[in-house]
Amino acid sequence: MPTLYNQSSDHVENYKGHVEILDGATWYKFDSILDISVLTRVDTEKHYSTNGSKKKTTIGDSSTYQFRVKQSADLYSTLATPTEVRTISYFKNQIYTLPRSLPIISIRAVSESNASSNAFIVDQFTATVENIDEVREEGKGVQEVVISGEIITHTSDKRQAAAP
Amino acid sequence: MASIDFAGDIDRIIAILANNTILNNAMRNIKFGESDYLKYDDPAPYILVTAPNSPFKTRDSFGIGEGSADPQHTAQYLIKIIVDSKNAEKSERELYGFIKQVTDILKANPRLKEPVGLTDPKCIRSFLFDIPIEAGKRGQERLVATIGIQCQVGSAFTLDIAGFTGIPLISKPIEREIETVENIYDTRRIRKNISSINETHSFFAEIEYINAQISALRTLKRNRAIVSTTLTRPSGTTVYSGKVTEISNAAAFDQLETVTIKFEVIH
Repeated sequence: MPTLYNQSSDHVENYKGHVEILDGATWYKFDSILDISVLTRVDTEKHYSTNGSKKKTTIGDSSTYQFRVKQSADLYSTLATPTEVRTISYFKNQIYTLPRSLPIISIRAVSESNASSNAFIVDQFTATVENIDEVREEGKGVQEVVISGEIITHTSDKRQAAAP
Repeated sequence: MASIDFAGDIDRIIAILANNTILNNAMRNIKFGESDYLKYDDPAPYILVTAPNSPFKTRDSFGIGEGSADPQHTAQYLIKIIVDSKNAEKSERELYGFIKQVTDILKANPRLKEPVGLTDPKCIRSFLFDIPIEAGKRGQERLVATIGIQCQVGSAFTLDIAGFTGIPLISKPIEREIETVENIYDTRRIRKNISSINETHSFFAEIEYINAQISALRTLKRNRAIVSTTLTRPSGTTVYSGKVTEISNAAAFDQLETVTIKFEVIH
């Protein structure tokens, strides 16, 4: 008999999760996180060995992330040259101001499961901000922002006893 | 609080009638209680305000529990008009005139508010249920008509909103606090858990259509601001924060037009 796992008693429940972004030494938590996806994509080259068996060699990765939040005033800076790394103003200033540069942010996706111990799963990484979609959509009460980019550094993705 | 206060209610009816200068000047007396039949003390025309032999009309199938410790009750009062004019015709004309005056005055103040400041209502609503003229005295100079008024006293459910306090609810509020969930099944499709998706919380309150109140509620709804409201039940009071999202006319019947408002609660 196989050992059963992935049971409901260990499920990660949506409503308990949140996302944090690092600004200086402070982690800021999005209070209206709607979606987040972290897609790990390994780029490979395939070939056959001298004996004919299939081989795959890693040549890099194309891992990406995307999250969607409700648009709020504190996602924007009041400064002409924004310094708050957590703001869209900062991202855009980095992207558009010459010399152009790609914003790099640190993200922590925190999930909480029903497990009786080590209930938390924390996926931490640094990533670029390459897409910023600010959307006013009919039928929605609050405008939304979708931010996505490519993961540069994987810090950790582990189970732990407490939320960070 | 729906306390039984027959004397207070009768005093209020007397105050309302006495506040009408025309009626008050026409009457020799507007008096508390039943006649003591000392005619020399009661020169007509005069009014006696009293209660019937069985003034308490509340009927309740369930009785009072801890959750309904302050129910409404229904009480009846009698306004007896006694006239004694020069002849039968004049008496009857005079009697009908006073009946019109008294009923107009009472219908203009159906909640039996203090007549000067129009505050402190004694009842939620009232209606005139009977106006018999004493049969044995028909065709005589001394005539008696009795106006019966039935009052709904106290309100177990009230709402404070849009600057109004103590708006009586016509029916019990319907409150819905709903957790939307996803069913979690195992390999045998046995439900092993329900996982929360989100929650909603709202209540419906049915009130009488009073133009000033509905107008204020519409303004409140269109301002789309988060407001505070207080819902009072027999078992206690709850303060809610949220928005008015619906104002719907309910079916009208008899003389009562009602409106149901929906209040979306936020936490």
